[in-house]
Amino acid sequence: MNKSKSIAGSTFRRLQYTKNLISAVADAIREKLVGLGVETNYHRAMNVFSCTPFFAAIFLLGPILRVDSGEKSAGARDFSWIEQRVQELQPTAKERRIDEIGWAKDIRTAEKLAKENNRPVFLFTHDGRINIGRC
Amino acid sequence: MRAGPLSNSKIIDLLNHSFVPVYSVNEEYAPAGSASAEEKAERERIFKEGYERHWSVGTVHVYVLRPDGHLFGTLHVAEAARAPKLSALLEKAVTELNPTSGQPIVPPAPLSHPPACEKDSVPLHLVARSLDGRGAWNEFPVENWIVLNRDEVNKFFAPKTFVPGTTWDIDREIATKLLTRFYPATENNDVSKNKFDRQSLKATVVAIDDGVARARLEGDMKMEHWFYHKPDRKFVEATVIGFVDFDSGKKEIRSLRLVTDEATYGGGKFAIGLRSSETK
Repeated sequence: MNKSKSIAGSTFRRLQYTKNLISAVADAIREKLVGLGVETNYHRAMNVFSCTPFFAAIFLLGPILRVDSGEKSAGARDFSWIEQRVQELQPTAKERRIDEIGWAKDIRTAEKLAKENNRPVFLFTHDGRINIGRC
Repeated sequence: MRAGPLSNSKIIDLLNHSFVPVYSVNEEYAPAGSASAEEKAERERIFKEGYERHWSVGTVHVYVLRPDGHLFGTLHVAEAARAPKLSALLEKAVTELNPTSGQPIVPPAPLSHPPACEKDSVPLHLVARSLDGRGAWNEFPVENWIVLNRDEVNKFFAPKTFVPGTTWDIDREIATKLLTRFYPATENNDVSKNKFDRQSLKATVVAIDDGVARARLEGDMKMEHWFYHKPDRKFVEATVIGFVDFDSGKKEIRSLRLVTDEATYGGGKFAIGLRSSETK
């Protein structure tokens, strides 16, 4: 039983490696095509093609593969998806309104500027890093 | 404070037009902190003045100083976090102190920016955002700056040569440096307390064009990360995916992107986006 699990795990890893490699090459081809402004039907076909061995493996070996569930696939995400995802996650201006405030660099600088400009000092003391939100 | 009064238009206007705003990070003002001795002494002077007047004093607090540097008022953060309360204190100061109002004394500027780093270092910017408002704080996305120095970049690109299909595991120390900050907004930000149950980050070259290679990055992780500063058996579990464009001869990063495909923590979902600050 252990031996069959080991063989199944090894087969799975090989299939997954093959799938990842084909998927990665498909991504590279697509990147080139997109860069050239070529329609992406070819890419869609490549995605189906690249996924075929993986899904075939899942279908055939699914019950056995559970023993090797520690290896997860990140899925067939292409480079443009990754780029777009990173962009989508960026803080918006509304979420960074703290940047609209003109902060002095430290307490003594604030006090000096306050004296020179006849203004009170607003001092906020806190734990962590308010500038990046890790606080 | 940041998601509340410090995002409130009225308070932002008051601070910019009638005050000199400043914040101080407690860790920097601790005995071993990076603030100068003079800065630490000045903050202690302010605290001492508050104690002498029997006013509310604390390390997570708001203080308003007169133009001559003496205390005008204080507010505990629980009070200051309510915009009407903070606004009332600021307006009282404007009324009684009659400051010279005008443009911000210090021009506003982005507070999150790449740290100063050595030549040939690569600053990476990380954003962590809650996707469902559960399991972690979610008022706004949080950020980190991670810098890979030249030696670390060399370690990142372990193979001696690169051709399409070249696959390698990213050096464990470098992968840890990146992945250990893959957690959502929590009280605890001491990454030395994080413990990996599982981590992997692999690269596969998918194309090379005129000496510039593109490698696909894939990995996954399970990392214990406490929400507060005590054990709570909370874990980050995530799959990650990305790519890195690099000069295959010089082993220089041109562009790096890494995102979580699926990430969970404390019963909630979140996402991480990591990207290099392009310099070349």
